[in-house]
Amino acid sequence: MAQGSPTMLFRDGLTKLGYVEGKTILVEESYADGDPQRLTLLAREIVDSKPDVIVAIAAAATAAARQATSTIPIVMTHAGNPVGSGLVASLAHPGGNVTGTTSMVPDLGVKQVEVLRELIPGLAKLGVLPNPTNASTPPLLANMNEAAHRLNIAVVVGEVTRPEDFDQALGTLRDAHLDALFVMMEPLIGQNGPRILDFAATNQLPTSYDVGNEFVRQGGLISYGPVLTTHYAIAADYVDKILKGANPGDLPVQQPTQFALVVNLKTAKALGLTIPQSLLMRADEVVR
Amino acid sequence: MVHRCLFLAALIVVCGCGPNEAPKKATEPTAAAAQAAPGKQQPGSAAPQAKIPRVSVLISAAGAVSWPRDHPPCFFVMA
Repeated sequence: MAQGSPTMLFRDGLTKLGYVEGKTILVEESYADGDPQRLTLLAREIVDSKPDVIVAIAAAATAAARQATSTIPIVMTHAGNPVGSGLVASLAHPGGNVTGTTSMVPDLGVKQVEVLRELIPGLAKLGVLPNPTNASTPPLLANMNEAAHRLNIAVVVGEVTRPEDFDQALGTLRDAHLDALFVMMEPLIGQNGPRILDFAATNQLPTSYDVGNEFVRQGGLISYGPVLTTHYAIAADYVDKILKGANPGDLPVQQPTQFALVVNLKTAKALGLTIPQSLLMRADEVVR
Repeated sequence: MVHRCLFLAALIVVCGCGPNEAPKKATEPTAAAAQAAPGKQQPGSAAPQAKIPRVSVLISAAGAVSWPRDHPPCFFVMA
């Protein structure tokens, strides 16, 4: 199977637009290896080297780049909540030097609850594992709470803001005797993904993710959320427009338009659940 | 009266044009000025090297990560 990486997909996008790397465009990559201090340092180094455009993969890199420059154009890819985190003034009119794509979808919480209810008709108590310090979390949680309230589903929240919080949060969720757990994916929670999978398996808990297709392949039950791989070609398109003279502040931020439903049948069987045919027919990937 | 006529004649000579003449456009350089201007392209010479635009990609995750093309790991893309 072909291998991919964000920069590879971004480069593919530039090629499709007619750029020839090394001849008509130069692309450099800087990786912070998950170290926030290194990320800040790299952002400063990049700005000092005065590139024509900075492409920042996801929210943390975008924030670091934005902190380092307010003049060099920045194209963000699937940054969670760029308005809430102050990266842009609005999605329609970003202003400043940042534009690109966001991974946030206004009514994704409603969809999550509806899919879980379809999967577990008797769903009465839903656990949620969020990191409230992530700017994407509050609107998604509010949206989810609203949908759950409408369907008479009680919501139990186990918050984490640091790795040390997982013991207490998972303990709270375990003691609540949930029917299902929804995991709000973001960096801190993603880094603790294996631990969450263990927790779900030990407690026989159906687990749903928003951007968690990888964890569903590893034993999670279901994920429904935006397909982020499409964002890199879109980033190339933004870069092209900016190099041709467009002002990043005038280019509207794009929201996800493609979504994927991934279901793990092995996990469903282990949990004694039957996945409804209606859901299976809509699945983009079924793990058997 | 004679003094006034002399003054107007002198003014016309100094300004270089009569009342109905249009001034020369400042954007039209003379041939000599074009030759003297540094960096001007001479006919028949090679085209100057155009600046290649440079894009820097900043990623907070590790560099060695790759994944099946259609299945990115969420913790990488979200980081």
